Amino acid sequence: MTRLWQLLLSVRTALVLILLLTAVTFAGTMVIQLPANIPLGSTDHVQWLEKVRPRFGMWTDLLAMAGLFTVFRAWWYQLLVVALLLSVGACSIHRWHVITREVFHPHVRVAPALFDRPGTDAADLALDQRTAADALRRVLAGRGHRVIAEEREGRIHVYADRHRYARFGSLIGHVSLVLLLATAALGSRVGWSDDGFVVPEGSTRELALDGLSVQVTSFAAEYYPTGQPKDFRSDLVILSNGQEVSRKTIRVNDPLDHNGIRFYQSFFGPAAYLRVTDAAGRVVFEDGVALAWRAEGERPVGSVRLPEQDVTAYVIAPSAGGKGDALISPGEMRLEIYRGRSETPVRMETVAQGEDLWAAGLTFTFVREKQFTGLRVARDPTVPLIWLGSSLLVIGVTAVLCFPTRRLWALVRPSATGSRVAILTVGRRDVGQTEEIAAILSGLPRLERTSPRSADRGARAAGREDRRGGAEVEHLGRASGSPASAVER
Amino acid sequence: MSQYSLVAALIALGLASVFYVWQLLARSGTRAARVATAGGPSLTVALPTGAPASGAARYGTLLAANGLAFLTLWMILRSLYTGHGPFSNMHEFSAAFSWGILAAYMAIELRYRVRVLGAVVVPAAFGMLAYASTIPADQAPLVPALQNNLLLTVHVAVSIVAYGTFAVAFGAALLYLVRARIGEERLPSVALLDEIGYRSVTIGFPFMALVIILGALWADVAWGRYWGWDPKETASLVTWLIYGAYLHARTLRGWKGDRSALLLVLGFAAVLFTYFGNLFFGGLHSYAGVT
Repeated sequence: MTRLWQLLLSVRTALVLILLLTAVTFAGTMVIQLPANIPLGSTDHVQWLEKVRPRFGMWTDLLAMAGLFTVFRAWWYQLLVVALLLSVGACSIHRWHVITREVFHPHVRVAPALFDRPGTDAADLALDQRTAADALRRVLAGRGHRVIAEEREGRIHVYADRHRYARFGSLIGHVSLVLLLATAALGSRVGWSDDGFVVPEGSTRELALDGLSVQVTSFAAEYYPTGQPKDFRSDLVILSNGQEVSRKTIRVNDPLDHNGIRFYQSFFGPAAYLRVTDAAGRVVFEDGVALAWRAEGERPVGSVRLPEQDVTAYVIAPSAGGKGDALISPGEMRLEIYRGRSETPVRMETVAQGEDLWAAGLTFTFVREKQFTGLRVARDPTVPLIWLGSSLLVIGVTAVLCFPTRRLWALVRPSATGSRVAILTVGRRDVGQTEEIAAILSGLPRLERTSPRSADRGARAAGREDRRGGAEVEHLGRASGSPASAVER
Repeated sequence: MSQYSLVAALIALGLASVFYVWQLLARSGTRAARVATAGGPSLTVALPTGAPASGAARYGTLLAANGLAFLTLWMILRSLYTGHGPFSNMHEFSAAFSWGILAAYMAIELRYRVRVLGAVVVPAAFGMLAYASTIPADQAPLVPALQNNLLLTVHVAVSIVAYGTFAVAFGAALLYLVRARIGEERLPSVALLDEIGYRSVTIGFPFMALVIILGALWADVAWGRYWGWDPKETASLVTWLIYGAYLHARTLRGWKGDRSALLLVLGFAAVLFTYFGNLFFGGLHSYAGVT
């Protein structure tokens, strides 16, 4: 148990998990993925595999077996994500104590011997110890530091830090990742969506949600002279128990929102307005039929089921608008009428607009051509949490990376000239920090500065400093009696 | 008008690249002499040791700054003309990418006073701009999915900052690997190169997160889902993960140094893959006909 915990806490584990996740995500980018609306193992899944087979050839089955067509739904992908989240969670819990202590109760005193080591930045001042400490405090505060000082055994210890709350940035960033993925998991459970909600223009269709219906009063598709699509829009009316509750013209970038249920313009296609009358002249069906599926030869097809008569009618439009379709001319529709469960049509005929077809004791009239609009309807109450998590992620990551916490320890001691100020930092200094220390020391009313390090721009001797920095970390930990406090991640 | 400033930028960057590469090669006196003899009479003027290198670099900086100014002008003119940021097709996006690389580089040069990096990064910006100028500039009208001027501008503008800083990190990592291997004295110290790489990523990483988030926001508005494993979406996640790995690796014994630099190289490969990806993996980011 302890070993598992240690493993979860290790940055190395996190790194390995990130790299593994990167590799499989990349694989999922390279290999085309099974569309999300096709269930695994369904006949559609099998058909889809056959569709991509020409592209992957003999590799198709191997890739399918390895799960590379369904990477993001695979259990091992989810396992990797969960493992990474556990690691992130464990590290966050572990770091919480360290960070809160460093921010709210920092260790002020460092073993004085550490300030005597060669290479330490120091300045000799012609001021007595108290005045020097005050001067240091003023310089540090003027440069945006929080300063804490303590006097002990004739020495004044000074601790200073800047951007201390940015320490929480890393924590916020990591926790927001957990929040984001947990929200996504929750959303996939409590959310509802229909990717292919099809309504012919002029028709009303019931939604399988909250007893709502959607009426499409009109649909329009506009094109540029170049043939590029310009605008798709549907005029929607949302009805609740027959009463209008909402109305809007939706476009691709402009959905309708009704109580958190959103209606998006997604796709469109041809529709046929069909009327069916029985022998007595009674109208048994009169509505638009969306030709939203594909028949042989890529022809748009739709169907109507008349339960009372036990008859099904298929309406088939010419492929590609009729150009080059030998069977169906532009403006015509092919009707195929089936009785019961029979696979052979009672009658099939291509009819022009306004023409009738007699079959199964009924009259089928292709009244006129129309269009249907395809909507995506979705309700996901968790989405605001996604934006909250996203904001926290950006805030946290920006804080920790762009406003790194800077900490330093100084010791003010009496000396022959008056007093001596020495400054230590943890870890390797970057250019900014090197300049900062130099600026702090030169900001003091000094007598003479003895600093080999602030003169150099930090870069040249950095290899050596790095090792020295490591030693400092150890000593700092021991001096304060808490090994964790000075370990930088 | 906007095309003139693009051509001016291209010329400025081409010349800047020459000067930057030259200053790298001419940094030591012996090498300067060798270049002079190999390059013919036009370069023999540069013989006085030491001086030509810094001189060339200064010209490089001047020209690169000019290139940046012309590109900025181009972006402003183009935005005024179209009503959105110049990011709606590969031509515009590539020129803007070049701007991002250049802007990130100039910021780093200003901060660290390291001009050697320009020998890698400025030619990259030049290459990107040259690529942009091979693509027809005609203003194709926006397909419905892209008709969101605010999100189009912000989403892509943010990605340009991210990509630009990652390009600079890539340049620093490349020089790091060279410096660590052959100990070339003319290059900055490995510590400084490591710091420049890291500093670039500290800007690029949050920006890349923002790119993905703004993309998710846009997807939610246009398509009704904030994440759909679209290839470009996924590729940008891969990019972000690699830089996330880098940020963790850099603190680890055995991973800091060489391996971290390699991650930066890999990260930029992922940037280029994400960038050029829609040329071959289709998906919803193909600029022609969506829906």
